[in-house]
Amino acid sequence: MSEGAPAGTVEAPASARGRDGGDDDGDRILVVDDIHKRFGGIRAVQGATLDVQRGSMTALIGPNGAGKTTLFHLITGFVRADRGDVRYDGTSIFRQPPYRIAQRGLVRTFQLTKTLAAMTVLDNIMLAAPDQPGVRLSGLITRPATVRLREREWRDRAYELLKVFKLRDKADDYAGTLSGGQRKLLELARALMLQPRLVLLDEPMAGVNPSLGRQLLEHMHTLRADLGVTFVFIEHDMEVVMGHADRVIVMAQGRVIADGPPAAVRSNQRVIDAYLGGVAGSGA
Amino acid sequence: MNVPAISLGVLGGTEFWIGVGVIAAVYGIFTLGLQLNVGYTGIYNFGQVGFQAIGAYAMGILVVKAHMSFWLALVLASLAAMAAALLVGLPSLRLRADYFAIATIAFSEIVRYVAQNARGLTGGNQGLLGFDQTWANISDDISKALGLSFDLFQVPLLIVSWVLFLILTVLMRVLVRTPWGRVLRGIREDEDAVRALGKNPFPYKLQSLAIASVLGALSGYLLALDLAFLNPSEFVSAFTFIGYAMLILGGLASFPGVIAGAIIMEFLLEATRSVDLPLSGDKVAALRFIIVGLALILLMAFRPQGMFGKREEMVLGE
Repeated sequence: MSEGAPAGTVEAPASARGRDGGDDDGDRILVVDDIHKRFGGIRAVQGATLDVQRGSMTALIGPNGAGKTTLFHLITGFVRADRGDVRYDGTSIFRQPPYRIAQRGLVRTFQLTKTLAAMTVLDNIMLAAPDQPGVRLSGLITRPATVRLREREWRDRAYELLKVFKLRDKADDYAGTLSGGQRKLLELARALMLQPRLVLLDEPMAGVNPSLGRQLLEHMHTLRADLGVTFVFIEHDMEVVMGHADRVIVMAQGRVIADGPPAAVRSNQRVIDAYLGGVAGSGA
Repeated sequence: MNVPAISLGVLGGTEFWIGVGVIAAVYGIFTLGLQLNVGYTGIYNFGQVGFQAIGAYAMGILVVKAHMSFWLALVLASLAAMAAALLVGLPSLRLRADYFAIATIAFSEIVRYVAQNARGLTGGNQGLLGFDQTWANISDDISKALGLSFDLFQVPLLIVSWVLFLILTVLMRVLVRTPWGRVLRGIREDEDAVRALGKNPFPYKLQSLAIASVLGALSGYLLALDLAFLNPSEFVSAFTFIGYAMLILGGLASFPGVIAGAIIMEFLLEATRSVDLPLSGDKVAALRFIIVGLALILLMAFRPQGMFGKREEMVLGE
């Protein structure tokens, strides 16, 4: 449905209209519309258009250099887009600063984990706690009792998350001492502390041993079922993609070339061409 | 007397070491600010002496030239230092860490040159006098209350500066253990991670610098009271680096470390004054810095995390 949508005038399907307080995008929690980014002479993303269904598990795949990570950067504000639009939950978040996007519940992880190495695992998670007046100096001074109360509440939540991700006994260790796989788990746990509605995971399974990887996927399914969290993940392992995603978006050369259920995408000729190094009719 | 020896009595005994104690507290408070910036926020403030100068001169000028009360001058001078921190921080905290360091050292040099040349206000190299009457009265009262003899006239300042130093150390330690301090440490580790977790690093870096500037100003008031005289040569960048030496000696990300660093560094600087060698005075003076430098090199080689720093944080922080 995303392909061929005219820029700026994406219509919500009639069936979705009027839900969620009448926002325009209906069932689509994320709409990326004709977004562009050049780095000097390189067109990293050239007119990518896609949307993500609320409560879905969407995989973003594509050959190396297709612009997947750049697209994540553009959506989450870490890289400033040249033009286009990004709407999250019915309102534009285009060119908003990353921290504001995260505050709204659109949270990302990084391809190379950004664990805070010289801080404890617990502090890593606690840093993400939203709704803590004590992160501001004014809050510390004017509402000390609330700060302490929230700190206790969030610490309980942090321990819960650490238990789920089997990091409970690592709580007081420096995050830098964790294995690569454990860091990925910590990053996901930390993202969840923000109580997100949409999580973008950049290669969550890369460098993770298979049993930890399976755990990570299980957690994602549980969170989707229990809390309705929507996931978009970049992944190269086709077994994971086909087995766990209910929708697959394929990028090549900065554009979305296919979008649909895993089975349909797998047999799509443009996708096969793109992966075989063909030009996939994208004009390049 | 050809045997090299350190004789603590040489330079006048008790009074001398009381003076050293005051200076240790002055630069200890100065270094608390550096600890907050470098050890907890990961921003390299190389202009701490500039904030100290602004605090000290603003206080002196307000008292001497504007005939303001000493206490009101302290408040306004602290605000002046904070305003300077915002002025320096707003444009330059967006720069990469090393460029920020250069910008701050340039700032502190600008402050010193202004102090040297705005003679109408600062007295230039002639210095600024006469701002310490309020303190002199308080000092006399304390001396009388304690029944101190005249040659111990610096003891009240020693008491006040150390009480202030210890209170501020505890306060800073409490502050960095709050959720606010946790965000600072996150910024030290990885700014992008902090952004991804919904926090904007910039105001935190600015606040960190502003707090350091006030600590710098407080150390400036004590220094001014200790000298009873302000002169631009007291505010050269070398003092910022003595602060860094204290910081590294005590260990990064530790406020008790600042206390240890301040005591040991000042002791080394002053004790090496009295190294008894068959050399001329200026050679001994140069030798002092060689000895202090050697001590720091040995420390870096054998205990790079300093006395109170955590080795893991240093290794993992890479």
